[in-house]
Amino acid sequence: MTELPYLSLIIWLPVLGAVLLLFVKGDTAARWVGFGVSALVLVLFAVCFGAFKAHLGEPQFVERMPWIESLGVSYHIGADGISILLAGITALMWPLALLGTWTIVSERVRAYQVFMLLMETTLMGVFFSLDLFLFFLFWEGMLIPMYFLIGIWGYENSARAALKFFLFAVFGSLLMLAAVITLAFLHHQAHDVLTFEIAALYQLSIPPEVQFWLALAFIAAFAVKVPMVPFHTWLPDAIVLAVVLVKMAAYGFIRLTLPLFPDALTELAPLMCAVAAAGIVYGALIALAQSDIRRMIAYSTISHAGFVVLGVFALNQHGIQGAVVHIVSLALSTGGLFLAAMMLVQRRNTWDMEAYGGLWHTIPVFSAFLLVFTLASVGLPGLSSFVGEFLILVGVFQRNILIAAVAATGIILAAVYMLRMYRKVVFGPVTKEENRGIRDLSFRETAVLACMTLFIIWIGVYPNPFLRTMEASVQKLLVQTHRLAESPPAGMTQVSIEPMPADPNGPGDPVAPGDPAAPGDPAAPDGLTGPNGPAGPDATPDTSQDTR
Amino acid sequence: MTESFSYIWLIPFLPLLGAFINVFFNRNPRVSGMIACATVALSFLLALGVFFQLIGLPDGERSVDVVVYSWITSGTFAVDVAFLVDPLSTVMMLVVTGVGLLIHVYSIGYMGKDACCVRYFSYLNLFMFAMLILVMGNNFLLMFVGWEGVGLCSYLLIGFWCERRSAANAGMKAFVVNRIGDFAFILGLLLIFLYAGSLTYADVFAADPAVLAPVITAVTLLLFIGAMGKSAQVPLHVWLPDAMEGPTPVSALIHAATMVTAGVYMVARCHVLFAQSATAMTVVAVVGAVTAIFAAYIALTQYDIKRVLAYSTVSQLGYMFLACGVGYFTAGIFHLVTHAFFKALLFMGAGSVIHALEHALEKGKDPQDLRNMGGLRDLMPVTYKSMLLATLAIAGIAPFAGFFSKDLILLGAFVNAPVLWLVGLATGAMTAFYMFRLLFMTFGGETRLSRDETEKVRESSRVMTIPLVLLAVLSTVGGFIGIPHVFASGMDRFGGFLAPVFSGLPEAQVPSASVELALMVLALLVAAAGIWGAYTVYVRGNRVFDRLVPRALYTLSLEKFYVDEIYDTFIVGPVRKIARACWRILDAAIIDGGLTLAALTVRSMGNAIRYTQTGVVQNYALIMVIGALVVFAYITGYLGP
Repeated sequence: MTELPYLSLIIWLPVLGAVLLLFVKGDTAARWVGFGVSALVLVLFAVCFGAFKAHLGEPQFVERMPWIESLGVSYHIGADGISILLAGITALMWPLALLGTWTIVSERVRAYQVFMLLMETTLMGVFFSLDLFLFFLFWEGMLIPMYFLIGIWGYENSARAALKFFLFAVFGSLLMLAAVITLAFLHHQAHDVLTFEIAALYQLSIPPEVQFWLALAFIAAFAVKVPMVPFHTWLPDAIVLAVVLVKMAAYGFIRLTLPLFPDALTELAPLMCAVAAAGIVYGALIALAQSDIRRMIAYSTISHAGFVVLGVFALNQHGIQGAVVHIVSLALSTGGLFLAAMMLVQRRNTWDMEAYGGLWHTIPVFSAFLLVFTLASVGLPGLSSFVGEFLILVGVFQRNILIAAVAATGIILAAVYMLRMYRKVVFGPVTKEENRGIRDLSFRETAVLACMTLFIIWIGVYPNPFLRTMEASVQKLLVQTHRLAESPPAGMTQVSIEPMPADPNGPGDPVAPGDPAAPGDPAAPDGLTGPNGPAGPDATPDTSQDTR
Repeated sequence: MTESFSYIWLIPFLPLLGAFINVFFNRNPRVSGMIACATVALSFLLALGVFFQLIGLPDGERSVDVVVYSWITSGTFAVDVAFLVDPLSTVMMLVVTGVGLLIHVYSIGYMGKDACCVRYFSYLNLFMFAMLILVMGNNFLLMFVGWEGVGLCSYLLIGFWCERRSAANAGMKAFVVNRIGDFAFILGLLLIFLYAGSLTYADVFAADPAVLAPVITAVTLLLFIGAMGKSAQVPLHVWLPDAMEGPTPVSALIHAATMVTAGVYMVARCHVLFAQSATAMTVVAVVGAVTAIFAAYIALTQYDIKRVLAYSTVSQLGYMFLACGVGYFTAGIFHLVTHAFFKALLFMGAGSVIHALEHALEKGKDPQDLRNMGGLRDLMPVTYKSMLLATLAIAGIAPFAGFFSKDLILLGAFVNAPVLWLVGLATGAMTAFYMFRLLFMTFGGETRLSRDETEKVRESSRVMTIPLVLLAVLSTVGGFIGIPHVFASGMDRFGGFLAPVFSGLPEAQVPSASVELALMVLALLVAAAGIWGAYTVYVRGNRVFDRLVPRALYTLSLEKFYVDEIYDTFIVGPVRKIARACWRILDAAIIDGGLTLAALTVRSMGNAIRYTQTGVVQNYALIMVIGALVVFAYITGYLGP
C-alpha cells in the first residue's frame, strides 16, 4: 500500500484526540473534540472500507514494522473481512454514543471523552493486530479506560463491579498471557524463530493435549468478557461495557481460539456450544425476573452473547457469519436500547420499570424508537438480529439439533421479557404525575437513534453486503480451523454434509465464479503467513474437510 | 416469463409506502385514511391484473417465481426476496387486498374520529404489507418474515388503545403465544434446510421424497405447531379471544379474514410435505375437528358479541384444518375465502352495532354485551340485513357462501374419517345455534335499551355500510364460484382454478351422488335444528335448555374450560418462579456469591502482597507475571522430555 497508513491512523487518531483534550477547556469544547475525532475516524474508516477488496479474504492495508526484535515482536496490523466489520461497527458506534450521551454525562466530561477515545484506540488495535503480542497489549490496555469509565458512570455498585470485573479480567488475562508465551515458545522450539506473528502461529502443530490447555486459557480470557455464564456476574453492574466487550471477546474466539487450536475444539466445541445454549436460556430467564431496566438489558445481553458464542463454535460458515452479523447487530440493538434507556433515565432518574407507564402518549417519538430496538432484540425478521440468529441456528443445527432447539427457546423468552419491559414502560395509563410533563427526544437524540435504526433495518433487509464482506475471510479461517481435524468433532451429529448439495454458486451467490481466492483454494493460507512466517509442513490444509 | 410479472413487488410495496407516508409526512387524520385506502386499492387492482394474466396462461405454466434480490447468502444457505405467482397465492392476494380494502374503507368511518387515526392507518397498511409478503413469498424464510410481521402488527393493533391495561396485556399475550408456535416453525425450517438444502418452495417440494423422508413427520408437525399458534388452534387458541381488545375493524381484518388463516394457507402451501406423512395429516384433521367443536361449544354461552365471533373464528379455522387433514386442501382454501367474506362482515356488523351503542348507552354499560342489546332490527336496518345474510352463510344454509365450502369439508371428512365428520356435523348445529343466538339477542325481540338510549341509536354512516353491503353480496353469492360436482359437472370454477397447485395429490374419493345429496340434506337439517333451538330460547323465551342441560356443562362453556387459569397455574406461574429462583438463588447467591468469595480471597492475598510492594500497578504486574510463569512452567513441564 503506497497510500496513507489508514489503519494506523484509525488506531492512533483517538489517542491524538485524547492528548488534544488535555489542552481543551470547557465541557462543550471537550464534547466537540471527542465527537469530532471519532467522526473523523469514521470518515477514515469509510474511505478504507471503500477500498477494501472483500473477495481477497486476507489482511489488507497491511503495515509492518519491526518493534522488539529480540522477542520477535513486530508492529503488524491489517484488516480482513471479519475485523473490518467489527472495526466498522466500532467506528460507527463511537460518534453516535458520544453524541447520544452528550448531556447524559455532565460531570467529568473531559475525562469521559478522553477515556472513550482511548477505548476506541484499544478496540481498533485488537481488531487490526496481526501480531499476538500486539493483540495482547491492546487487549490489556483496554482495562485502563474501562476502569475509569466504570467510575465515571458511577452506578450504585460501581466499586464492587469494578473489583469483580478486574479480578475476572485479570484472571483471564493471566491465563492468556501464559498461553501467548507458550505459543511463542513452541514456535521457537519448532522453527528456531521467536515470533508472535499470528499467521505463523497458526501453522504450528501442537500436540492435542497441549492445545487443550492452551485453548482453555484463551477461552477463559474471552469467556469472562463475552460474558459467558457463569462468568457473567460482573455485567449487570457494569453494563456500559457490555456491548463493547462482546465484540472484542467474540473476535478473540474467532481469530485465535478457532484457528490456533483445531484439535482441542474436538472436545471443547460441543462443550462450549452446550454452555452457550444454557447461557441463552439462563440469561433470558433471569431477564424475565428483573424490574430494573438496566439489569434486564444486562441479562438480555448475556443471553444474546450466548448466541454469538454458539455461532462461533458451530465451526461452520453459517455459524461464524451469523455470529459476526449478530455482534454487529447487538451493538446496534442492545446499544440502541441502552442509549434510549439512558435518555429516559436522564429525564426521570430511575431505572425502575414500575416508575414509568403510559409513555406512548406523553413521548411518542421516544416510544417509537424504543419499539424498534425492542423488536430488534426480540429478533423480528426484517431487522438485524434475525439474520444473525437465524444463520447461527442454521449453523448449530448442523452440529447438534438438541442444542439448537434449546437455544431457539431463547427467542420465545426474549419476546416475553422484552415485551414485558415495553408494556410496563410505554403502555398502560399514565400513573405517575412525573411522567406527564416529560420531554420528548431532542433533535440530536432523534438523529442518533434514527441513524442506528437505519442500520438495523438495512442489515435486516439487505444483509448481503455485510455477509459478502466477510465471506472469503471466514472461509479462509475455516480452512485454517479444520486443517488438522480429520473428522468432525466427536459428539456432534454430522448430518449436514451429505444431504446438502454442495453448491456454493447456487442461486444468488454473490461470489463471482472463477474468483482467484475461491473458497477452499489450498494455496490461500500461504498468503497470510507473511515474510517472517515460514510455511511449515502443515501449511497445506486438508481441504477435504467441508468448509463451506 | 418472469418479465411479465415483474411489477409484482408493487403489490406488497404499495401499502408499505402508504404506511411510510403516513408515519413521516402526514399529520392529517382525514388524509391518512385516504392514503391507506388508495394504496390498498392499487394493490387490489394489481392483484386483479395478476389474476387475469394468470388465467391467460396454460395450466402447466401457472407457477412463476419472480426474484427481486438475493436476501441472505452464506455459503450453501441462500434465500432470495422473491415472489411466487400461482393460483394459490393469487387467491390469497385477492382475498387479502379485496377484503382488506373494504375494511380499510370501513375503518375511515369507524376510526376517523380517533385521535390516533394516523397511527392506526399506518399499522393497518403495515399489516397489509406483511400479510402480502406472507402469502406471496416463494420461500419459507420470506413467509416467516410475513408470519412474524403480521404478528407484530397484530400486537400493535390489539394494543392500539394501549392506555387500557387489558389491551396491552392482550397484545403481549398474542405475541408470546404466537412465538411458541414460531419456535416450532423455525425448528421446522431448520430441519427442512438441513435435509433438503434449500428453503425455496420449488426446491423443497420438487425434492425426491426420500430426501426428507427420515424427518417428514417431524417437519410437518413442527410446521403445524406454527400454524396452530397463528391460526389459534387448541391448545394455542387462548390469544384470539383476548385479541378482541383491539378496534373492531382490526378484528375483522386480522383476526377473522386474513392473518389467522395464514396457518391454513401454510399447510395448503406445504401440501406436498403433509401428504407424505399420514401421522401429520391425522394430527391436522383431529386438531382441526377438536378445535372446531371445542370453540363452538364455548361460543354457545358467551355474552360479549366480539368474543362469540372470536370463538366462532377459532371454530371455523378448525373446519379449515379438518379439510386439509383429510386431504381436501381445495375445500380448506375455499372455506378460507368464504369465511373471509362472512366473518369479516359479521365483525364489521358487530362493529357497527358497537359504534352505535358506544354513543347511545349510558356510562358504565358495556356496548359489547349482548344483554345490553336487543330490538336493533329497525334502528339499524342495513346492519341487520347484512348480518342476517352473513349469519345464514356461516350457519351453512343453502345457497349462501358457507354452505358450499362447509359441505365440501364435511364430504371430505365423511369419506376419510367418519368420526370427524360427526364432530363436524355437531359443530354445524352449534354454529347455527350460537350465531342465531347472537343475531336474536342483538337485533330481535324487545330492546333492552332505555327510551333515551334508543333515541340515540343511529345507523352507521355510508362509508361503513357500503362495505357491509358489498360483503353481504359476496357472502350470499360467493359460494357459486365452487358449485359442487353433483349439481353441475365442471362448474367448480374455484377447484378448477386451484387444481394445478394441488395436482400432485392422489385423486380424492367421491361417494355416489345420492350419498352426497343425503349428506347435504343432513347438514341442512342439523343447521335448521340449531336455528330452531336458538329461536325457541331467545325469541320465544322458552328456557327448555335450563332444564335439560346440567349446570356444570353450562359453566364449563361459560368459563371457557378454564384454559387460561390452567395455563396461569401450570405454566406462567412456574416459569415466573423459576426465573426468580434462578436470579435470587442461583445467580445472586451461588454463582456471584461463590465468585465474590473467590475474589475476596484474591483481594486479601493482594493486600498481603501490597504490604511488601509500593503501588497498585506493580502489584498488578507482579501477580500477572508470577501467574504467567507458574502456568508457563506447568505447561512446558508437561511438554518436557
